[in-house]
Amino acid sequence: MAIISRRTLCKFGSALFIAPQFASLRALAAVAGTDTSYIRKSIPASGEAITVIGMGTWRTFNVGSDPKLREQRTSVLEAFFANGGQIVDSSPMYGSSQEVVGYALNQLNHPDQLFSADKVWTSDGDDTREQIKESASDWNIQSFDLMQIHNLVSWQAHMETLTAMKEAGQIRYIGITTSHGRRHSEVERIMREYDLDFVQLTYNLIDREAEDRLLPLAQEKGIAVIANRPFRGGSLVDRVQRKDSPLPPWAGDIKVNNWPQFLLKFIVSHPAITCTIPATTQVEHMRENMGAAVGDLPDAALRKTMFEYFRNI
Amino acid sequence: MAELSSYSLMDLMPMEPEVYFRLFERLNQSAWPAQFAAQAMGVALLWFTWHHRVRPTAIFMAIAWVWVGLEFHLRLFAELNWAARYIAWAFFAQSGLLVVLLGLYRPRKILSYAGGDQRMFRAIVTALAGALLWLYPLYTLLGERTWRGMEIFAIAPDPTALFTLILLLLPRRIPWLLSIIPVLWCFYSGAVWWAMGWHQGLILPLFAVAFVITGLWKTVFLRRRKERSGV
Repeated sequence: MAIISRRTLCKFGSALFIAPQFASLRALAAVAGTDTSYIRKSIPASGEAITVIGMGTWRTFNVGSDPKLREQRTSVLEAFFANGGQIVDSSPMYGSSQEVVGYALNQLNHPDQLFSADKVWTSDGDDTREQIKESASDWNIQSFDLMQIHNLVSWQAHMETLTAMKEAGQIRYIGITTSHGRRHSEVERIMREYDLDFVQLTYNLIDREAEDRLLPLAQEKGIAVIANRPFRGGSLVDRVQRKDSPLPPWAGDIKVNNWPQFLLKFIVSHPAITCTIPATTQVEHMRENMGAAVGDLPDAALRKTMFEYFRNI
Repeated sequence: MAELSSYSLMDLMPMEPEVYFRLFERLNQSAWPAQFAAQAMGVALLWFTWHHRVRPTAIFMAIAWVWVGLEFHLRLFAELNWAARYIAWAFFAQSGLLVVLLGLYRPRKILSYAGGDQRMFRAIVTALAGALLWLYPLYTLLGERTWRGMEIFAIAPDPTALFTLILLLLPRRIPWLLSIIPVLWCFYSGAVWWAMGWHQGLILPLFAVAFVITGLWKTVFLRRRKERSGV
């Protein structure tokens, strides 16, 4: 009969004790970022405030079952929450991103500050509930805060179901998404005719088409706006880094310490924008991004100056 | 159409380059030490084709395509890219075609090997296949890729497709039906590698084009020779 040594017993016992403590510490670090000094904006439909810098998961969290990369992405999400982050945006279209987010949330003990935003992405209008259920299962959550119709795919059928789900209390907010400046006319029509809580569209320092009609309409109708592609897929940051361009001397006035914060503060300082969702694979970049949720936002005059400065780089 | 043109290649790729490179590391890790058997199989295939052994060639190649379809596309790539499931089925179809067309259905009719003055051509093509078997894994070390992600015939899709295309140049009549899926894969994979920033992947579509040109040249050359000889 094998005898368990005292040493083995101690190792096993300490593992039993320490592991949960470590998980609690990690979860504690993750929720530490709910300090109210972060810049937050209200969702017009409810008055609920959310931090202006969220997190996207297109490409960045699509790492499959790779254990090393899943741990690394968990660290990214941990840094996000630790720095005041709330809204996490994903979609069934993003490969394994939802499952990886779910894995990371489990590791971090599901911080209360999470604002879960997902999408319906199926051409089968009868499949809405089933897909949302699968997505929630991937996220390891009971229900979503925000459910959006991804790129307007079969939007009429999904809108009906989402409205019913919201009335039944199964989701809190509904919205639609588009990107790259596509289908703005259709988005505008839907915003006028339906009772939306959110619209997600592309808005950044270069792609400003939404300012013409959609952003004013969102303000008029009380629709929250999520800005995607804040760095235009990374090309805006690459541009300034390639040229090794210095920040303007007045950047410090609004607590901008690097170019990502410059670009993000421009976006979220538009009065119609509720938040933006940069995506990253690196903890350091996440901390840089979240720095845009601290300090002051530029006013209209400074926004103009920021645009001119960037355009001349 | 206007909406389609607003998409860049990068927009269509759902994963970061780091993740795609890691796929090949994980593939090799899970396949280890089957890489040795795969290389041995490649050498065996060279012997079979040189000695006109069509059925073993068909069976070994079919095994390679099924394995890659299962391990790479269904098990690993499908987690990241919804299209991988369909690509896996294309690989299974290629495997089926190899078995049916070469293994079962009148292989002599379809695959009579060129002899005589085409012996030189066969020697060159066989040598090329041999070189690919041993040099392509080293080629995949170019750029910022690591040795853990080396691509081996019958383990990874790219060398499997390239090796297949080379062997398809050997028969007197090019079995064009068997080249469709490997050629399409070369173009698709080349596009993926380009989007991932590994521009060395351009060798795949270039190779596919070279295969088509060589195959057409051979077809036309043989037909003209036949016409001149009055046969």
